[in-house]
Amino acid sequence: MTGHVRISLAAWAATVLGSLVLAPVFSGPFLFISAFLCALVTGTGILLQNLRAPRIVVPVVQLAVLVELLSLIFLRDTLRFGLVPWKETALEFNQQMVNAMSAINRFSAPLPPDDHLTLFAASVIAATGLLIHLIAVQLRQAAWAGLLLLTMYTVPAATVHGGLPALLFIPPAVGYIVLLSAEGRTRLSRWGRRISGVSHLDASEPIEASALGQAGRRIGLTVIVLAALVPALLPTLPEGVIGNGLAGGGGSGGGIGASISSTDPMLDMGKNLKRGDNVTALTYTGGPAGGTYLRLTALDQFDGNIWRISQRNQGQKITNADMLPPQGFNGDLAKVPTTKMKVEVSRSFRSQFAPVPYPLRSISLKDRWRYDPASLDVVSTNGGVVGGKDYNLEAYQLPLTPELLRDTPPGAEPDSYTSQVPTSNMDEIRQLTNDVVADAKGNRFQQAVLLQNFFRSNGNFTYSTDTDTKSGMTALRMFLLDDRVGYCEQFATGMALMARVAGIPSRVGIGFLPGQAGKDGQYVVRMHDMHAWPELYFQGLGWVRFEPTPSARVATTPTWTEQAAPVPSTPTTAPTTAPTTPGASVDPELERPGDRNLPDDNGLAVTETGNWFSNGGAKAIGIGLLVVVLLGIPWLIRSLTRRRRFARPPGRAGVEGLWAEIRDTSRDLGLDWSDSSTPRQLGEWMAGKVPEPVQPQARRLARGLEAVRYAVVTDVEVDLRSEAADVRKALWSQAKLVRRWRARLLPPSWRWYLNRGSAEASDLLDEFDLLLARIRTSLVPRRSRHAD
Amino acid sequence: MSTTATSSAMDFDELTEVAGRVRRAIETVIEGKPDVVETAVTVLLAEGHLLIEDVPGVGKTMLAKALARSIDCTVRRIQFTPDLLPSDITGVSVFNQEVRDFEFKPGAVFANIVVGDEINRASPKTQAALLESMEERQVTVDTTTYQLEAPFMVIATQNPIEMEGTYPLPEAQRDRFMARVSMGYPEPAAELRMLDGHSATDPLNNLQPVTDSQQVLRLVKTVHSVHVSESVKEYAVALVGATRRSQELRLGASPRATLHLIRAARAAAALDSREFVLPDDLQELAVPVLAHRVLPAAEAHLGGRGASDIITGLVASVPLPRTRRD
Repeated sequence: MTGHVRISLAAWAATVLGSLVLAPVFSGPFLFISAFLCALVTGTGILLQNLRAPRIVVPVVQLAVLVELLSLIFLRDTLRFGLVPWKETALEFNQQMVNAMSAINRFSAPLPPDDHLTLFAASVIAATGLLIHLIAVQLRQAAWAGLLLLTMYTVPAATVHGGLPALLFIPPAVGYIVLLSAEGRTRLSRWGRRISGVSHLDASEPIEASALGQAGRRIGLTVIVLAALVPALLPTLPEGVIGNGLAGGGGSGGGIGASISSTDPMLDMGKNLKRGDNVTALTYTGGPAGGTYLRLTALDQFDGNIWRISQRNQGQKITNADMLPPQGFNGDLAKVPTTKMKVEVSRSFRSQFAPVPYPLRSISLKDRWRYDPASLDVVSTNGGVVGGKDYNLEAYQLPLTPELLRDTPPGAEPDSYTSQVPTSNMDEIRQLTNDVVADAKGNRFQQAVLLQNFFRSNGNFTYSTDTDTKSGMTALRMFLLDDRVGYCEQFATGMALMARVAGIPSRVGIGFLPGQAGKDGQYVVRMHDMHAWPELYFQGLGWVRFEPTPSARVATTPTWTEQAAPVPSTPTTAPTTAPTTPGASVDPELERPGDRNLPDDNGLAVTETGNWFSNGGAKAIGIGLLVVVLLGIPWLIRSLTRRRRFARPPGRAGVEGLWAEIRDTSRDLGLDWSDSSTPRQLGEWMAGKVPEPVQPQARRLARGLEAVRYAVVTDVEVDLRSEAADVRKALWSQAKLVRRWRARLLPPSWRWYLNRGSAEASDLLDEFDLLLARIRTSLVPRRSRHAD
Repeated sequence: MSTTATSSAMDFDELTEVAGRVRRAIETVIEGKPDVVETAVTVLLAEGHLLIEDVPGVGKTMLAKALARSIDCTVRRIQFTPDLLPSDITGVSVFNQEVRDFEFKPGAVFANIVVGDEINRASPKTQAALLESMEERQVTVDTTTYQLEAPFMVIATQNPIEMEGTYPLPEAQRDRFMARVSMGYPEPAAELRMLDGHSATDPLNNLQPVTDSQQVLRLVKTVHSVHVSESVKEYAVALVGATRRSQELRLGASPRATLHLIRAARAAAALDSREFVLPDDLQELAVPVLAHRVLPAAEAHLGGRGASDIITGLVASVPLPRTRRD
């Protein structure tokens, strides 16, 4: 096999392996199609190269072949004479790409197996394969092809909700190593065979058996194995221990929260709820007793699949004057009581939206911060984040009561989109909604309360963040009609959708639960307090918050929804208790750590003292203790080993153990114990290190070892424990203080054991090399290898 | 059990006593070279053959003769020359007129101790005839095989300096010798004593046998009873294996070298009145047993490192086998 053929095949293999990472993003047969396309493109390249075609011609022809193949497979109808791509083909391709991009923007992964998406995926992979071929074969720069593989990997890594399967990085990594190895082998073979002393013994060995190729393969293999194993073996550290726990470096998208790249606030909330740590997002003082919900934004547009923020205008400039009145509120705002608050947002919370209560009257954030009059959310206009800011604000406390809400007139809509309901696949949900709100007799508020009760108690819903990572309409349908397991995202969007079905305009608020009350009236809100809730529109009162999420997560419902509708006296088999009762009978496995942050309407349940110990001191002590424990492990193991060795009965194993103990002690004390010295030599060496009275013991120990190790096996009971103890003590007393402490805390004999471990690993790798060589020998005939 | 142990102890006593006598006898002739003498006796008891390699005039032949003379057994000396024929070594069948049949006239190799002087002066064909009988301890002439009498030991000398008209022993044939020793120049004091003692009479003439072939055979049997533990065997394999992997060596030692190393170590242990072999024995014998079988690589030559230096380096670097549980 010639060099370019080998690299071409390796480039193809790398592309195919690399494309596997897209499996969680797209669905359908795109992997097979793209592998087939790449194979034909690669074959074209090999053929042209063998025909000695000019280097510039090869990629051009390959591209032409790729275009023809894509057209034949996907755009056959637009071809002239059934074969020649024409202008219509290009237009159709463009249209398909636009459709695909639109679908990608609309849906979250995995994308449906539509034709345009398959075309998109196959085109992207095949084009990447073409580029990899170009870089690795034509330009002979295989290493740079790794960037393309990396790019391919970043797509699912950045978009797949809930992260990628842990081991999905292995195929592209292996592909890259295959490519590098093929390239290295070809490059070396151009220099001829290696020079060796005994030429007749290894002249026939292929070049890759050289130490260089071997080392490369070993490093690659070791790195992949380590990368796969180490994260699995490590305990999940709370991210806050290492950094601020937030990966959101320079995420400049419209995202909120700690996530990096997503533009979907719902995704961010899901991630924050599931994250391992629970860092503080913000603190606030003031506000109503018992705390208040803080909202970031409202998702008011539902496109049939996901909830998103509607297209907004520039927003209103924030001034010292009052903001525009809350949408739909017709009362006299001058008579509405207000509450003042001071909010301090943690640096780690990198959102472009400021958490504020609804409805907001005024806020001290100025300059680049604006507010949207309809939703009253406060957003940065230049991509700045709210993290690290503190601001004062004043919010209305609308006087909502069940009676007031019940009397609102029906029919009004605030805008054109908050009432939109998908047109397809809605029959079952419509039926369900009608069943649930049947008792309301057309009253909007009654309907809303019935819906809330349905989610909280009557509908057998279970709160759990361990749900499938799917989102969108499919997941929502499953939640409403099938498994009824979800977290606040599903509850909020489910109620919002059913409210729209019932004719009530709705949107989904995203923000924080009130958090945990601390001393001095300060509330601490953490990442796990992120929450979503529906807001329903009532004529004359505006947007009103409801709470469908069960008591396992949120104990109380808004006061204006209580005693408004007759709640069934027996909640039957509902897994959650009735509203307003903190989850007493909740399945403990489903309870979130955030449950301790349950809002407290009376403001009484103050559990956090906020002293040094709870504010990180405990963690510091814990880390300190951990360090002490870690430092103590070598000492502990050495002590136990020593004890075990001295406890062995006299005889061969006993003497070997004592000898090993003296060896390890010598190494621990920094003495130069040689593995290639015989016991007799070491006995003399030891005698030179210890005081004169102990010298005979040292020699006796060595002779004893000789006897048990080399003489005819007998059942003699040689007891050398006192000799070993004397020698050990003498060696110890001769050592300097620093050495002794090092021997206690960081015994260097460990290093020797580590070396021994690495030697075992090296043996394992030798076996691996041998296996590879055998496979190669059996697969590739000897003559063809010689042709290189 | 105790009887065996006692007899075994007696055997070892006898061995050390006889070996001591032989050593002392040789040392009356070869002064100031106890190591060389020790190795020579070790090879005798290990049933090996000895190659003595050094410049002329340092006593190679004297050592060979002294060792041969100190044992009351048949001794032959062959002076190797380019015109020496293989039949001179092995013997020849001649037609006996009286009995009207071919009669075998044994060659020089039919002796307990054969001293081959300047072995590299003979033609390769003649060398091969000797070396064949060394390995197989038998001679085949005209389809008839004649066993050589035990004990059988070849002590060959060769001169590495004079290359003109010599045929250096190829590696395969050097491998047949259990050990190679170099005499080296004597210490000034030993040389002075030699002047006093050797100027008037040949000390060899005064050398009386101190043992006989039967006793030597018994001693050899005693050597066979020396125990070699698994650990020591592993160490021998590791040492020899290291010569095959060493970057400084073009050719490592053969499996026969491992065998010879263990056999020599047995004899050395017996000479030390020990019933078991120690790694120390292997280390001491590594250079004489291994150095003449390996070929240093060009880099080692350029670095001025000879085979002995390389073997010494390997001995210092090869770790003793690990015990399974410590």
